Amino acid sequence: MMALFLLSSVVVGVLVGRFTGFRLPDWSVNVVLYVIIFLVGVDLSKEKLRFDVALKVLLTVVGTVLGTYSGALIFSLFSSLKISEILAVASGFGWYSLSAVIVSNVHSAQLGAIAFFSNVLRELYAIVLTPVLSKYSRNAVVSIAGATSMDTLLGPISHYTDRETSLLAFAHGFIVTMLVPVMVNLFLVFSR
Amino acid sequence: MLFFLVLLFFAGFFLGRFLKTDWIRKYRVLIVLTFLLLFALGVEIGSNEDVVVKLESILSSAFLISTFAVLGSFVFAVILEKVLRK
Repeated sequence: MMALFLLSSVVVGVLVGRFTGFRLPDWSVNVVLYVIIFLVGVDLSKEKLRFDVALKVLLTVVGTVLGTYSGALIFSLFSSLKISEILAVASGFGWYSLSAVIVSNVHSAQLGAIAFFSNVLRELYAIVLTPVLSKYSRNAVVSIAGATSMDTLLGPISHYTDRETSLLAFAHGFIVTMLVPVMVNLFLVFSR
Repeated sequence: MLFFLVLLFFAGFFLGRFLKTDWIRKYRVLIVLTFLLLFALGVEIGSNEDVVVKLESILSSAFLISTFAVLGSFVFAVILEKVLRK
């Protein structure tokens, strides 16, 4: 539900930008992003990290990363986009705000828009699939959520699975979230 | 930009220990800011003629990338789970 509200605020923005003369200063996207990143850090500082599930967390992260990239590589076989561009977009792991801003700053507004919509859709997939898949594979629910397993999807995941999976989801989302800026930038270096 | 972002994150992470942080969740600050960010991003996309013209191909690439990424994640997660159980 929240994802739909968020999506509609982009759509409103697109319509305003397209059909009115309304413009925001160039720095506005970046400044809001900086405030968000800082506050996410502040918010997380109160979480107690547990290390006893570390191995399982790392394996799940590996599964998420390898799975996402192999899916992206299969798509690259029949896409006109460069492999590195597709991998950069996929490296958002569902964190659409950050990946879209980085991609449009470093690469182009067009690939930035692809990064945005692709990662919003990943979050929507996760929201829709979590109730359906939670009985079949708990790991899969966490992996599909990607970076959002720490925030937006944490609520639904803890609702449909158990405490252990919720902890896994949080730690997994934490690590994947840290990977997003690094991997997006890395692949963009190769696509220039 | 990357360095600055990581720095900001950790600055928040360490400063947060000494600050009150319940207001962030109480007033849903992050969601409100995300709305703002997305609106600003939308204005940027909408005012960019290049993007608007190619919106259809942008949306279809986005749809396919996310679908393949989700399918790949699902397959790998299930395989890992099966391997771990043994």
